[in-house]
Amino acid sequence: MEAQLAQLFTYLIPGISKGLVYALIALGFVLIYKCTGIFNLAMGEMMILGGYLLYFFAVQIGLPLWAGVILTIAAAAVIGLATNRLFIRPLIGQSTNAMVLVTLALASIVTASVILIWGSQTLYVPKLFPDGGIPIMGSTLQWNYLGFGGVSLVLLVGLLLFFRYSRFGLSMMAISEDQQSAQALGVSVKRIIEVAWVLGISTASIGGIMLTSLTSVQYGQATLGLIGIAVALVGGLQSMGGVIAGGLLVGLVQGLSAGYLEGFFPGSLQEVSAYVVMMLILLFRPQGFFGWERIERV
Amino acid sequence: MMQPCGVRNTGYAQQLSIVRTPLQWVYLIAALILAFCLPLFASSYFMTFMVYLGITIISALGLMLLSGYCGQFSMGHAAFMMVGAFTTANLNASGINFFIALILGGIVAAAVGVVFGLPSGKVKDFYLILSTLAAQFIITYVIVGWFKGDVGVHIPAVKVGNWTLAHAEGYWYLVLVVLILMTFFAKSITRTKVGRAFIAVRDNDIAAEAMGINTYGYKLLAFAVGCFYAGVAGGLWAGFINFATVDHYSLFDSIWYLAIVFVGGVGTITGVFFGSIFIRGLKEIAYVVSPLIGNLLPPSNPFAEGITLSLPYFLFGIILAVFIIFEPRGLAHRWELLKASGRLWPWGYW
Repeated sequence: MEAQLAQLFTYLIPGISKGLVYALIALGFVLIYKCTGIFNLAMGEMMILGGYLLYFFAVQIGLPLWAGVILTIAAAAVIGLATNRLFIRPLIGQSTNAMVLVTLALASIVTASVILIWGSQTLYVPKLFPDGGIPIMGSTLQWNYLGFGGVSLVLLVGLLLFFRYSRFGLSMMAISEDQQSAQALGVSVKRIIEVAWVLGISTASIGGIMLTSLTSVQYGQATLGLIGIAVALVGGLQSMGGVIAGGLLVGLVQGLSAGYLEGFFPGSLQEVSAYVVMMLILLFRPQGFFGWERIERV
Repeated sequence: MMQPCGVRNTGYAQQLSIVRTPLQWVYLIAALILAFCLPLFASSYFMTFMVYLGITIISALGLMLLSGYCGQFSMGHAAFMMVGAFTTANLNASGINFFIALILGGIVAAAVGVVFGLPSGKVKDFYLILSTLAAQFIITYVIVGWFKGDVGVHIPAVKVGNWTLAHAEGYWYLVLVVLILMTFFAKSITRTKVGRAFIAVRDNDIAAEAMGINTYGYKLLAFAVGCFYAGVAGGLWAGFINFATVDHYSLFDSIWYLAIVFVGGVGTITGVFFGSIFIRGLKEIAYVVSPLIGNLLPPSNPFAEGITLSLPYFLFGIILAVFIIFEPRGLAHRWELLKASGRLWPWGYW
């Protein structure tokens, strides 16, 4: 019993901490989607770019790790700003489809830049937290997982409070509710959208830093960012707080399926389990756990 | 739809006919003769390109019916092609005739498509895209796990009677015949009750429901038809390279099929042709040009390998971005404008 419990912990902890990181990426995604209505297909690429930038600052230039992290986040913010100015603004007035497609082009350009600058081989980012951990019931809680879970949780709660209580955050919520009325009430939509892109890409890159330092950086990992979308959906797209619940659920399912079901199914069930959860949610509770049920239906 | 001066509709049938004027008949027959004679003078490389282009068009036609006409955007189109490819390959490898396997592949893909289209009863737009995104990953997982997706399935060369379609020249005829049939079928769907119901569901599903259109039924029908096209295209691809592997049907490919629909112009059958030629051609050019530019640098240069690898992505991304920013309504729209200005030239009124 004791041993089984310990084993359960070794599956749960990575799952939960990864789930929280996914929730962070999902938050950036939902932020952009709510403020602009754009399905940002380049989210995964932006996330991976965070890992590459950290590699650049911390390994290639040789800065201390904390400086590297700060510079990476700053660079991601600049990239978010540039994305908005160069790709999204020229398309104001066009259909949303065109804007979604332009994020696809952006994803392609980011991938190309990554290959051009860093090559296509797998790179290893320094670990953000020391090895080892707290021994608990026969297994160890690794510092890495604890750290990532904790950092993500703090960031998530901080952002949620920002949206709930600060003037700026509230105007962001107002825009996501109804752009035209918000503008009529004196909210600068243009500026808010810019901030949404900056914040969204920054949080994605923070998520990228954490996910890639758990394993390694390779441009093909961009599909991991899509799990963030699954998380956003499980929580409910209208609900910012729902991403935490969604992240925890998806992380738990991933951790448990990696631990207990892998033997019964071929291949890596862990990766696909998030999408199975998403599909079930779509079929039975499409508004997610905390989203609003829309009355208009067909 | 704009017609040349002097062409009038005197009946409903005439208004719906595909070929309207004698000159259009001449163009059509000339194009068909050219297409059938193409292997006689085109190089083997060009024919391979044309076979891929034809398969791309068949698949994109399905996506156009599903997304462009019925408005159900799918980000898992390549996965449905994969279902068709592996059904065809597995059945053919176990001894069933290729053509029967091809049709069965289409039907199985249609069935799988309907399963992943089930959420369309409750959700639309963005949420539905997520359902098809899930389809991409779940189908890949299932095929890798249970249907030899990781190692791939080899199948023998396709035969018609005693004639082996071993090379692109021979296979082109098969693709061409299927392409003509499928284009005619797609065009015909769009001008019947079903097509008008699709358009009604796309433009305003609530109004469509109020008019008595069974929206859920038509959405599922769109999934079935669109994925049938994808399945047949996937089967044709497997037959052409005598091999089926999951690597050819990645999420990246799914997204590019969607790009074809947008670049061509949403809700137009001609747009599929323009979009496929544009995207396929762009890909081909990118893959031919990039090694040349990569070779300009000395091999000792650290960027030499990177440029060869990354240039296709760069060209792709930048051209697509520029294209969308300056031509957001698609190539089919530009084509209509061109035709109109050609008719009026040189005495247009303005």
